[in-house]
Amino acid sequence: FLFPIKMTSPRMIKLTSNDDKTFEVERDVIKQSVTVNTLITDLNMDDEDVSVENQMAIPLPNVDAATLEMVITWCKQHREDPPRNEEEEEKKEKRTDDIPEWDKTFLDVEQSVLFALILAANYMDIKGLLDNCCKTVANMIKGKTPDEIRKHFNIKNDFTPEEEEQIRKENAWCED
Amino acid sequence: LTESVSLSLSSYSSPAQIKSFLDLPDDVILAILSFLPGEQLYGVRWVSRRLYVLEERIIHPATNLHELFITIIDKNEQSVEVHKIKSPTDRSIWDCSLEECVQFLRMTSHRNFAFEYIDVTIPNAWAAQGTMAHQLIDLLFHFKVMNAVSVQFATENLIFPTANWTIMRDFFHMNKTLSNVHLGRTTMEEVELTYLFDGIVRVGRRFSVEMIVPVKATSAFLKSRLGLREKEIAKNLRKEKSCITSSTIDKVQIHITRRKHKFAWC
Repeated sequence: FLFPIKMTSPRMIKLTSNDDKTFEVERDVIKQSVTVNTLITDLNMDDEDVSVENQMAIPLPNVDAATLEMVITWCKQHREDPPRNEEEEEKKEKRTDDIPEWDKTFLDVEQSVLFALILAANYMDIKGLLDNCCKTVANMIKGKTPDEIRKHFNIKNDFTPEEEEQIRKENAWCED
Repeated sequence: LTESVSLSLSSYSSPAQIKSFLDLPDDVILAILSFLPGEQLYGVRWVSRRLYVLEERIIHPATNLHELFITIIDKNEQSVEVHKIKSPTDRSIWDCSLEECVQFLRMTSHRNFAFEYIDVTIPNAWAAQGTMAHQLIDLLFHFKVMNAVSVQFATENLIFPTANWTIMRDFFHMNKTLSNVHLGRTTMEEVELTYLFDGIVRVGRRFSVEMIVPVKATSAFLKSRLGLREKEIAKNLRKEKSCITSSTIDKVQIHITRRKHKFAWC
């Protein structure tokens, strides 16, 4: 006897960026976003009877299309990653030299793109992406003097000379 | 449904064009700063007012513990006690006056430093220093020393003015995280002992206390206060007359060891 085998295609979810571009992404891929995942669960969007065509798109008003595309690319690359144990992550020593090679290349972008990605990761609550973005920025800061940091990030020095002197005095205690 | 999803998401902040590092929200900047080594963090605070404020927030007792070693050396340059530096690397040592030491403690108090281990070594001349020495004690008991897990006073004779014992009692009472207090060989009057033991007993913890006990303090008194058996009292305490020298404090050495903790220390 041959029984018909039900071929199940991967469950797809629609996401819409703030510039009205809609992306279809596998449920398994986007589950890395806690924000999206929670919404899907809370709104009972996992109903298998609803085809992707009839499914509503989840609006992401804080993410533009270019950034959302990058986020999805990152999520696809990391879909096989083991689930994060936040308690364990908290205990780990904070280091910045453990960014995977693929991520290093992926995050080697203009500062504005990287910041947009950070905001998106923060908003969509994708811890792995946010961590690697933060580490990338931390690596940009490392080894730089305050002046060099200002130059690198185009930050204006808004201290008064008196305030600067005060901080200098305080820091004298902390320097080797 | 679309409306409800939109409503759910509207609680997040509105989209913003990020042009600068400083346009990032506080929690994101804090997350970035948390990956920086401690020394670099101190540098970051110089960059701008906003980073100054954020860096202040990140220096938190639970995440950035320090070890504090204070050695007060008398004018005869008599070296006082041995210091156990837990981490020989990343150590800062300053020689300074007692006034500077007090100033330093005020500063660290203000900056929300925390010390995991406090080691105060004091020569025999405590009483001779007057107000400044008292201020030092007050500060040690009042500020972030409260977060320390261990406090050690090691000295030949540690003479506290009676008024400070009120502070010390409160110190013991308030500091629930203290796991060990070693007072060195301490000379004190009965009233001082009362304050001290009231504080310790209230916390309900056993501390390592080695003292030179004045003749007035009887073992019966200690027994009633500490609930120790006679044998233990005899073993731990020695009865001697108090001894105060007249030398004055000349300089203070401060050792700080930053503890490797949550931050990366490269």
